[in-house]
Amino acid sequence: MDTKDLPKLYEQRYHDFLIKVVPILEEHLKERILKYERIDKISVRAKSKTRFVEKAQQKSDNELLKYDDPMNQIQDQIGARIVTYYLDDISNVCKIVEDYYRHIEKHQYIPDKINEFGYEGIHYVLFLPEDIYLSNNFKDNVPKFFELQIKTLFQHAWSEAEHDLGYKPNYELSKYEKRKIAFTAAQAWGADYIFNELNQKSTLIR
Amino acid sequence: MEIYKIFSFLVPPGKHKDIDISIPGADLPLNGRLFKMLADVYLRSDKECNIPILCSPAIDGEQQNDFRDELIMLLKQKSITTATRLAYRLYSVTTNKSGLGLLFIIMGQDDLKQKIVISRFPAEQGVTAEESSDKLTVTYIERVFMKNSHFYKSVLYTGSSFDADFWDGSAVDKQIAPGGIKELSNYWIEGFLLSEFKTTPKEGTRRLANALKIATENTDDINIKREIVSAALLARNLKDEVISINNFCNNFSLSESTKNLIVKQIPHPELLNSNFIFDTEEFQSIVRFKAIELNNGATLIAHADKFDECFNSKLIDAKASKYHFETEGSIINTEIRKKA
Repeated sequence: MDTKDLPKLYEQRYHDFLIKVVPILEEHLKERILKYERIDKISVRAKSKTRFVEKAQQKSDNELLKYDDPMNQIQDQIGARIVTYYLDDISNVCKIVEDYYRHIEKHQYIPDKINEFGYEGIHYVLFLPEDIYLSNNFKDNVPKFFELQIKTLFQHAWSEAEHDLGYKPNYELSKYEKRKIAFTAAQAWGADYIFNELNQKSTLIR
Repeated sequence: MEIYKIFSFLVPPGKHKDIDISIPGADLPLNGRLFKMLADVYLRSDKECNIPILCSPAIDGEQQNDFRDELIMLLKQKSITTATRLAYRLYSVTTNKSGLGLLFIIMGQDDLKQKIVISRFPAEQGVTAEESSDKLTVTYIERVFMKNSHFYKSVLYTGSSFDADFWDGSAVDKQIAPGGIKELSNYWIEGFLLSEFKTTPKEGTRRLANALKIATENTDDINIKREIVSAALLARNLKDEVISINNFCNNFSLSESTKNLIVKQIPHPELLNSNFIFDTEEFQSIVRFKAIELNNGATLIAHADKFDECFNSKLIDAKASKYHFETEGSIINTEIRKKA
């Protein structure tokens, strides 16, 4: 495929198929997951053309393009997110997700080193449920998979702000600013543990 | 899609045995009577393989599956050496009960897609009779294959991208005895293909239960309602059974009109054959009928949520568990059934 065609190809997929599947998948997730009470939000989005093209142009360490067939290889063209209240809710929600959806990947993101603080969350690559296809044409034009992120409120808040600040074009964060961001990750981590402990205690008393 | 390659291997049972044996294979000619028979298997697979399956991820959650890796390697290299890896995989999961089998790997392609059908034919026993001018020689032989060429396990994969495709396929077991789908699942799907049914137990049961629930809500036909209620009450006995929506309708001998109404609630016809393990808890959370049978011969049935609205009950003798039930409504159907 000529890489010049990629934006146009993706735009067509985006408008004709992806954005039509998004509300159906969101409803599908809500119908199954919202029986669990401590969910702040369930949302689904189609990756924008700009973000898709940016990702498609990413290079590996050897300076070669990371994706040679981005339309098939990029698996988060449809992305879903479930935000829970507390840390313990995450494993409970994962159980429900695995009860109703098949996954081909499950990855827990935590910082590599014990004394580091940064992005945390569970990412799944899930098979799109067949109930959501509006026609066979959709089946042929929508990726087979979607990405689902499960995070607590604090993990979500931190990653949104970090993404917004950390990826600004024409602005590179200084070492000191990066350290400040790591500090806020530590605070989010601490807040999660404290709220979780308080919730465990209040649940026992109830 | 035109067939471009067929490999065959004689695969003995090898589960719990050393893998250090030789499994010779053959690159079969694309003509002759055997080719014609295998070409039929290949062509029929589009309709015949109707149980959707999905490769499982690695134990650590990574997006990797050994069977799929071997399948893709074969599709890329198209060599007997890479095909042999699949034969060894089958050997390593085949028990003495499954016995000797003949494995065929049939590969085809068109401009857009690759198609691969993997079939296993079991060995059977037979007798040959050779007649000459003055005598008849009758011999018992153990390695007879395809005595019945419609007696095999098969799986079909199609796709154009080695990144996005070949995670899902469709399987079938033409050897299967009634109620034997679990065996297919254990040996062929989980063992050999490192896969699972595409539909999870809860999702499949939920789909079925919602179809039954909506069907009863959307009809005024008392016979349809009665059939669904009866099937739903019996469904609790299906715990952990492998079924599909079609199986469910057929096993409970539902009438055509009831089946049609249930089928109407399913978004895509291919979901009707999608196998799943029945989850009683999920089913009862959606389709809940409460039935009380009294020792005077009466049976009271209503939706569990509405049972207490439908019937007023009063305990009149606690020792004898004797109740008085009352209900009020217009009769919409009366039926007297003869004893069989």
